[in-house]
Amino acid sequence: MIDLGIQPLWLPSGIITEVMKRDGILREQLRREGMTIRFHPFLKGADVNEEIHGHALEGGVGGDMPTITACVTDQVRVVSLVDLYFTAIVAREAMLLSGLRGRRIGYAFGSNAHHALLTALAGVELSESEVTLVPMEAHAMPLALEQGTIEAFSVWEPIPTLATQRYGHKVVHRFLSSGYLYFSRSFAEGHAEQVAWLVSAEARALNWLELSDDNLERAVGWWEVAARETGGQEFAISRQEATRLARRSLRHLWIMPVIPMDDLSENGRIGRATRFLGGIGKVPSQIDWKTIRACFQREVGERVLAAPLENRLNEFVYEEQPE
Amino acid sequence: MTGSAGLRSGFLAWSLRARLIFWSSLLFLAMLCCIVYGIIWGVPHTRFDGRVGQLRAETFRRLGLIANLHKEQIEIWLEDKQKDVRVIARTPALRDLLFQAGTVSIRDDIRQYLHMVIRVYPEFDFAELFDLNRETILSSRDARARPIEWDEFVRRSLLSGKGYLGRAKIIEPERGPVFRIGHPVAGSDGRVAALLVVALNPNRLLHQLLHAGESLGDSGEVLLINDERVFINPPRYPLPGGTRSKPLEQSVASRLSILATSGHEGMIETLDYRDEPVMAAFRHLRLSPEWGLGLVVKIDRRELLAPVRQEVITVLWTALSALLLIGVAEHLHRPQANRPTQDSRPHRRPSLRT
Repeated sequence: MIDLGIQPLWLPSGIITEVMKRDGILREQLRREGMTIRFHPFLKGADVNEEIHGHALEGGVGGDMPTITACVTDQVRVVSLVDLYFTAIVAREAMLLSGLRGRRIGYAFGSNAHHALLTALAGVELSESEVTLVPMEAHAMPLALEQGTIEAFSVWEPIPTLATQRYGHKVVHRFLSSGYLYFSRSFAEGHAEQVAWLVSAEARALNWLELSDDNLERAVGWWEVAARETGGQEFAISRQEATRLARRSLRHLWIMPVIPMDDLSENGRIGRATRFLGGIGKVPSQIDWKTIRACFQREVGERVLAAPLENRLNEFVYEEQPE
Repeated sequence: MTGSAGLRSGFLAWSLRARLIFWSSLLFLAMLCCIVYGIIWGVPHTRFDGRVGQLRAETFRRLGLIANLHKEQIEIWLEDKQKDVRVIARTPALRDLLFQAGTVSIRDDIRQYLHMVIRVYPEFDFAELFDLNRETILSSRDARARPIEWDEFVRRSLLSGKGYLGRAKIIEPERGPVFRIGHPVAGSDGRVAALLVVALNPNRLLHQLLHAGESLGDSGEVLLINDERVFINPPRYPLPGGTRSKPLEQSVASRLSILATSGHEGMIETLDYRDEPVMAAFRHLRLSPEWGLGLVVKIDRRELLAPVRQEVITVLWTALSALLLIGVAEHLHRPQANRPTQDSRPHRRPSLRT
């Protein structure tokens, strides 16, 4: 049994995992080995990490900050890219980021939007102590802003879109974040073939989503159901808007869902993020870069993409309902 | 007698009416200054931002819209070109030629095909076919085949399989920077046999950016910066040392370029590459998982304040002129006021003669 932690309230990763859930080829491959896979919904990467740490999950998806944290605490093996899109800081009115000084800002602790918020504030020379950070669940943020409990929030898509659509809130800053598929070290080292199948399932899902607008809309429909079940009825955004957002956020992954090589240098995105997290005390500041680098196994994704025929990346068997 | 004492005695020597006019004018001037300040800069601790606040909000909104528009245009344009390359790479004619490419005459046919691609797509500077089996490159710009150079671009293009867009690069110095797009060419069995590479000339794009600045007032400018913080389009103004940067020549370490190239999008008031205070909207264009560009749309802060400054100067000059006129009028009236008037002499009741 493979237990995977997913995040339905996160685009585009939520759509990719909904397609992977229905992948007949993946299920058949696993069945032949006497294995099955279950997908468990979570609200944020930090929650997925807790379960991986407690050996309740073999792997999961998470944004850059949870991934680096899981790397530091559990030496997870990060094998592919599942998100490369913007997280956003949202306020009631259009304003400069420097205007957030002294304001109450909602955030999900340990998430990539938390990292994005701190990075953005640092970009305008505001420190964490100059604002009031209010931890809360991501899907509760738009209402909290509307009711005045907070004055801004930092969150991943599709919540900023929901906030702008429903309440007329304004996106005041965006930051490019990444998200990854990762596995516990023991699972990745003991089940390399199964890990490759899962990465193939992701690449296949992306190819299928790119193939036609019908496929994308069908997947958005699946995602809507999963998001509603996870986040409640009030979370829904229009199908048209969700499809538009999905298309935009999947664009970079369609090119190549492999962990970017340039991110993996000490001065690349992962290196900078690790230093930043060390600087604010979210991970040990003296952590060795080689330890972090060892977690990111780009070559798994490369091997999968280099053999599209063997990995059946362009064969599609999707069932309407996941098993 | 000291000057101040002289002034004091002079001031005290003013008539009551002159002093009244002086103090009223001073009060009027002070109130006018407060009102003008409030109108221009806003009222503290209220939601009224004043004229500068309104201008700033309006300018940021305009900068944001222009930045979004350019970002979308550039992304769509590049995506369209990637799609064009995908269509060319999947053309059966090219595939058929490739699988007969052993003979010299067929190689010439492939070159002719590549030349045709260049003619049909004027944005493409050149097209090349990397024959993976023979490890040679057939090019529209070179009659001879040459060996493949296995750089990161070639590797990533083969891995992607979707039309990989490479970083801007200068290949022929006289033609400026180009973006390379690589797409695998597969045989009928699905095996990749070659890589089609085209060099996309961004001149049309850069031309648009150059002229976009014209809609941004006198000082406006749109800049495209690569992930090594080097200008892709030449900046409008000379650099602090007085030199003028050419495309892909000069790196810039302003906060704006750092934010835009490292994945941030937003608005800011900061110093630009000239150390000039500017208002700017910055966007990040992610063009592949590996790399992206920074887009900056900016306007000098002093241009924003120029109309306000003009208004303040006009109001103050008008007020001072009015005060001066009052002073002059008072001065002209003063001799009459100081001259003993008939009223000061004992009144003689007019005799009423009947």
